Amino acid sequence: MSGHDLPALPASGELSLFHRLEWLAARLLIPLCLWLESSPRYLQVKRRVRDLLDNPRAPEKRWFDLGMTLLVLASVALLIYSVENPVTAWMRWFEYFAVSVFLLEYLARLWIVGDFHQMLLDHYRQAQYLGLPFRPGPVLLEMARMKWAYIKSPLAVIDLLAILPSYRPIRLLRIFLLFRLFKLFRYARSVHGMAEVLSERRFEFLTLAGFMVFVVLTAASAIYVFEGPIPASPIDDLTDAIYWALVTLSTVGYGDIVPLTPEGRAVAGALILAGIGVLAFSTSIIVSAFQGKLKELRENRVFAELERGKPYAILCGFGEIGQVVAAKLRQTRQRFVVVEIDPERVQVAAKLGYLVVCGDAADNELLESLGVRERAHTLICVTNDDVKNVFVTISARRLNEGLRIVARARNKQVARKLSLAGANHVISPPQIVGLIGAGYIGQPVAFEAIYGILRGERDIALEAVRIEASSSACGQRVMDLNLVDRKLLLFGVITQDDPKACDAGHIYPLGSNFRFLFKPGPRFRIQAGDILVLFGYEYSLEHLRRTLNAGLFRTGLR
Amino acid sequence: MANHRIAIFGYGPVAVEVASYLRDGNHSVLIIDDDPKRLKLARSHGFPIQAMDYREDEALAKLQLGEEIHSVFCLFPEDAENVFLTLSVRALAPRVRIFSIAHGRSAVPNLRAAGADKVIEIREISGLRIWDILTRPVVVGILDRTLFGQADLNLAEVPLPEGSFLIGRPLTESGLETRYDLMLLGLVDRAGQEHFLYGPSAQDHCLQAGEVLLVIGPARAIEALGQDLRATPRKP
Repeated sequence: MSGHDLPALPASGELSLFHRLEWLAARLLIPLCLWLESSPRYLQVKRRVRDLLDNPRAPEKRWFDLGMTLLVLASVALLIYSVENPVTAWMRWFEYFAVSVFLLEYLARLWIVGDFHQMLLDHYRQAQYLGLPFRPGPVLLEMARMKWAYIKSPLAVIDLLAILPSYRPIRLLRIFLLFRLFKLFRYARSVHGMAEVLSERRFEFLTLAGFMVFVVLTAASAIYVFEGPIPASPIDDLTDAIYWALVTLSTVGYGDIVPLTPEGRAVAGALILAGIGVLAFSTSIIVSAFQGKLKELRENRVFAELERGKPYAILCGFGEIGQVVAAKLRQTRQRFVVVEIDPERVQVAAKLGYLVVCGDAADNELLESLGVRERAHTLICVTNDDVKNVFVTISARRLNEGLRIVARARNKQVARKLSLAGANHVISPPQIVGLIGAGYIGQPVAFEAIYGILRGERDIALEAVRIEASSSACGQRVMDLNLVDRKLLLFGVITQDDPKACDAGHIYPLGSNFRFLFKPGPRFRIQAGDILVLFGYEYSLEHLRRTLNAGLFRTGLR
Repeated sequence: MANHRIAIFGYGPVAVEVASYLRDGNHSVLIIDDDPKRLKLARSHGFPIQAMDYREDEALAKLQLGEEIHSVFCLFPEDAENVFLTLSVRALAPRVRIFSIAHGRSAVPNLRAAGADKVIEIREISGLRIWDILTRPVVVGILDRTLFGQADLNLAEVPLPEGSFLIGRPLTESGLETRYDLMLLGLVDRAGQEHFLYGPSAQDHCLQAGEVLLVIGPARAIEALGQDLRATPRKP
């Protein structure tokens, strides 16, 4: 650990007290931080706490949120119950329990803001590297600033207010118990989204609030001037006047205080008109804020849904081809999400019950938030636009090396570009038609038959069965598999290059070091990793696959 | 077969691919269109062209459909055009084989009613193809490289002529697998083409004239079987 020598006290004798303190702090902190950094346990605990509190993808967070919600509701219910009923001992204990949980949560949240030891060590190593004296002051200040920024944030303030009321002597604080309800914001995402939408209209609301304050104060002063001196009027001081102005402005008008003089009525009339204006204005702000954001809120739900559970496919483009693919995916219960730019098609997809996001697939940010980087296993890019397909393919490939990408091209040139861009498979509708057309002209009957098989329109299927290393078929000969009894037809075997293979049939090379053996003879030996391509009835194929890989397969079974 | 031609109506993006595949398969192709620009493109791709308006029956009649031309591909970008063309061709030549594309599921029954032998719904077939790639990449890959690719492994239909040596024999004794090195996928009754009999489950079936064998194998082996079937009766 020679690189982590503790800072020595600078030699010069003329040092301020502050510098001495700073040196002392560094002297004490550095070993602590080094110890923390090297402790896997500390790091693991911190990571788990972070997952629990802040990581929306962590499964434990859902349970934590649910538990906290229940705790909040229970403690508020208790508060309401205690208004008219005596407080028993267990209720007090429950309150202690709730408050300690809230306190723990508050401290834990404060703890996970930033990695203090890491920051300090980074600075320390930097200083050592440059040969400068290490001064922990700025780092400590920076850290304190980060923590303070967190403490100031609205949610943290709410958390604090939810804990404070347990200090009983201050009676007013009891009302803050209700702040515990606001704590629910933390645990419910949709509420969070709504608050976000409203906070985006901060400027409008502030303008409105300013206007309201102005109107209320003016009207309150006016009514106080006119009615305050009249003994019959219930308005005795300015607070009464403000209360009346608010009740009138909001068009609520309880009627407990009414103006008695003509001047007062005139003020009331003006206030009522202003009130209608204020109400209309605030309603329009809220409506317009939500109109723009409802789509986003709905999509947030899609993202949240995707974040849970198994990997899925992303289908870009919900045109005719996309719709066929989506129907097939749904039919086989695969998870997938549709990205489509045309709102009408988005509607169609939503009506069919698919997870759908309205947006441009060429938008990198959208792709990333859809989880191309880690949670998606396949990207199917079938928009009508070749340029966009190429662009999306390139972006997705850059974001995720292992992603399977299937893209659609209009013609051969684009198909080549898509392959260069990183698509694993490229389909080109004209090419498919060309293939079918040419095949159909030559051999219509045979072609119908094979396409029927491929489409699953007949009972017969063509399937590939991979032989795992653990399979009982390893080392067996083709004749040992009893294919005839099972009514299976061995089309061929995909295998590694092995020139010594016996009775291999017709050999067709497949790229680097694989080859396809058409109709290998009965004495051909099957190796681990070979893939058998077989025609046969679905159930027969399924049976073969099960027996081979379960290791139950016995030779010579008659 | 060599002097028989295939007429392709409408040289759009689909036709570009179809024509090139057909040429790869040694078919003689004639491109027909009424748009000079598309005809120019076809000529630049090296295909014989003919400028013609398919809406006029006199012009269509001059093509001698059913005599020199045995198959017609309707590859216009509009479904309505393909339906009109299919109807006209079917009326002029009942025996000609008509292949048409459709750009939506709703057009398929119309084209069938108009008399098309084979209708390909272009979007659906593409979607299903993507599905195949996703679920069975190995099978799709192998078929693309062998049966549908350049490799010498072909799917062929071999009709059984009257009096050929296989007639009356059960499938097990046909010797297709051993003597000809062919894989028998199954057979189809010529009369009702829908009736497909899967090879392994029809081992005891006795072959009859008019049935069609569906075999997979190298071109040489298929050729050999065809020759032996034509040379009747074959001595054991």
